[in-house]
Amino acid sequence: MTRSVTGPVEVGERVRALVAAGERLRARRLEEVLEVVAEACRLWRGPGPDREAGEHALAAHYGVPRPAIAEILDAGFGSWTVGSLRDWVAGELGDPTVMDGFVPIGGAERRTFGPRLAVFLAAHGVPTSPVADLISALCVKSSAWLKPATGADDLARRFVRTLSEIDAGIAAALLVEEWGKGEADGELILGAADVLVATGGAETMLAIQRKVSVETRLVLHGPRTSAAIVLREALDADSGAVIAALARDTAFAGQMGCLSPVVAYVEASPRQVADLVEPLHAACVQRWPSAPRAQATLAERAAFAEWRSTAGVEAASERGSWRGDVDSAWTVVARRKAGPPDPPPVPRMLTLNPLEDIVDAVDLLAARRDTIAAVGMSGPADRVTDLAGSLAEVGVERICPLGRMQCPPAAWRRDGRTTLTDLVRWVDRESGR
Amino acid sequence: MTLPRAAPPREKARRDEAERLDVEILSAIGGGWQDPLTEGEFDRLAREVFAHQFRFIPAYRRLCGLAGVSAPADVASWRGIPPVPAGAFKVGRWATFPPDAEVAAFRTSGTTREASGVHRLDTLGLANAAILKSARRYVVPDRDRIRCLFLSPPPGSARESSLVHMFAVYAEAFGDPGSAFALGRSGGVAFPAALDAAVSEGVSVLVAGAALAWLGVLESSAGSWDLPPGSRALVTGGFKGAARHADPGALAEAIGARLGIPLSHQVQEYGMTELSSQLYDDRLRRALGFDGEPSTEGFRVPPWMRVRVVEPFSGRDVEPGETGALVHVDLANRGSAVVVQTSDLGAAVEGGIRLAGREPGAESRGCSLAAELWLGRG
Repeated sequence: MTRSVTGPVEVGERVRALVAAGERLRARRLEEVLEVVAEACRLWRGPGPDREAGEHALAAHYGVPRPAIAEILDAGFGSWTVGSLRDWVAGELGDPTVMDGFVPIGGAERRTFGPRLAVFLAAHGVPTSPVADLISALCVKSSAWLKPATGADDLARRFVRTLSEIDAGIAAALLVEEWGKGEADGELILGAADVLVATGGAETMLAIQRKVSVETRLVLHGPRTSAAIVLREALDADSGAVIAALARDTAFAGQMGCLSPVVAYVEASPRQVADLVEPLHAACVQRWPSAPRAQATLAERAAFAEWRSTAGVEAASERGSWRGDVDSAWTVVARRKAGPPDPPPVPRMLTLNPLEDIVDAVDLLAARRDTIAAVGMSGPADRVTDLAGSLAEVGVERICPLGRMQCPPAAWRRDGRTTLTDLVRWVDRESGR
Repeated sequence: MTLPRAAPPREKARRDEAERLDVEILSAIGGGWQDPLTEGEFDRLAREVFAHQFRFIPAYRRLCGLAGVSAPADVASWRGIPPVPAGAFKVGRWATFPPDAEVAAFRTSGTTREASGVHRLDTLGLANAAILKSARRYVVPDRDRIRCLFLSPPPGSARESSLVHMFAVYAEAFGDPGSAFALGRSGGVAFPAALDAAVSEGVSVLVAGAALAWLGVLESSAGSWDLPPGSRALVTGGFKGAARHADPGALAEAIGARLGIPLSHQVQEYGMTELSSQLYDDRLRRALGFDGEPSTEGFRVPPWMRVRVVEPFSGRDVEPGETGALVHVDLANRGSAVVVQTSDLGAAVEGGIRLAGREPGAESRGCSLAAELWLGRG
């Protein structure tokens, strides 16, 4: 457990040190920075002491075997290479060298500056998400203070240590620390920030909006859910492959991330869908075998108990079936009638919805318009393409093959928006000729 | 001339039984705190209501079967009545009476109509009596009438809201002629104008609303008011659904600073659409010096209700003071579910319950992610 940075003196010193390191970072070429970041990611991709120790620590933290953690690290660090980082910057800013000096872009001479200090408020989620926040800051040559969620794992700190061993100057621009209780420390830190990037629930978002001054640029990542869509042809061709892909996307990091589907719409009869419950439950348990619900928090137990009683009523009304009781970490539910993609009452729950015509899934997803982070689809290309157009219309932000939902590219437009352009300030230079 | 069709024997039996139970329940509510039900009387009445629901709600019979209760006689005390999960109100039609006997249907919050639950009533008599008895005690114990400003749409444009219905009952029973519903499409009165009027006329006022509505009006109006002495606030919600987004501590401070209503006059109410009765804290009663009750914390449970605090999976009562999941027993829920299982957490305190981590009006800590964030706790 780490001590939080507390009091105006300590907080002030840390902020000044970060801003100073950020100034030195800004003087370096972006390509050089990206190479250092990519090298640190490479060390986390392959076997090595940092990766080894990280896998052990995270496995202990989450109470799951190392392969479950390895999958997370492979997916995250596998997406961050020099090439992908360069493409990310180019894709958003037009030309990576725009971070180093004026370049002709869009009919003008332009350059960009990252914030002197970006503050990231992380939420509980996929362990690599805070690392992605830090990398986004470095991609715009910004210093960053990342406040991890209380009780979060320490992957972000470990990554900064790896960076530090490669290039202490760059690592000095990053800080992963909580700050002290009371409003003063938070106000001091946010007062120094040019940009605040926050991830969390609606309550957090509302609180932040009320607290942050108009001078601070605010980037909010609110609640999101994801869904899977399975077309009839895919299920008929290879139901085992569908189950494996759906379990991979669902069980990844214990369904903590917004890219994990909480519902699946399956073009099949209620009976066929009910038959998927058992193997899907088994696959999820196998992929992320955390402690059973009987050992969960009181809040989770209470929510599950209420849900379980309701499910009993539904079962009595022949409205559905389910697998995964208090002795399991996972619950898979098959409804007889499809419903909207409401967030589940407890973590680690997947609800399967039968549909005679998968097109009806679009209307159901539209009920939560603009809160669907991703839809993973399995089916023939022409039907998937048709559906993708409709899903985009109702605000789905990312559409990808089932089984690949947890592998977004570095340049993923999270929440349907760019990442780096939210951080930078543009300067246009006009020659006067 | 067409004569009304005679009710079939089973329906007549149901109606007769319901009427008999209603008389007893209304008597229990009417007795209130002055002549409260004894434990034995409560137990008998609760089990009779349970038996009525067992008989007339087939889905409940099946649920009881899953809980090992095959007949009402299997239940030896009210504590053994199988609870109905709040989520069951989303499944089918959870009512003892046929659709043509329905007089009101209150809908819970949900992202879609399909995802929301419905509490159906064949009489408003029980709910209205429960609303009034508690409100008289905890909201207006000191006066017959008060000007009310409700932070909600008027009843005509929110017929499915149990909260708006509760406010309508307030208005009719003790609202003075200047009372108004401050939000909504028709007949709405601007929040600042209503407060201006109360200040200029020197009239004390009850401002009542869900926590999120309070936040909305405070953020959308810039002024501040020094409401006349005797003015009071009622804050409800903040514990379930969308209203979870409010930070009770910060809201209490804002109400004090912006409206001049001290914390002692900010009554907190705990209610659910699935219940007919409400729980209030007694801070206003204490502040007004009523009946020398001991200083208490949490929400007071009215004599026609009980609240069990249970271990969620076993359903067994936890030790006094220990936190568990709340199971409400509400006699006024005669037509739906006399025992409602929730996922709300709390602990039993003398004569009431304390919600876990969400003690409203307390200092701005531990109440929500908002507080957690700014207190550095995640």
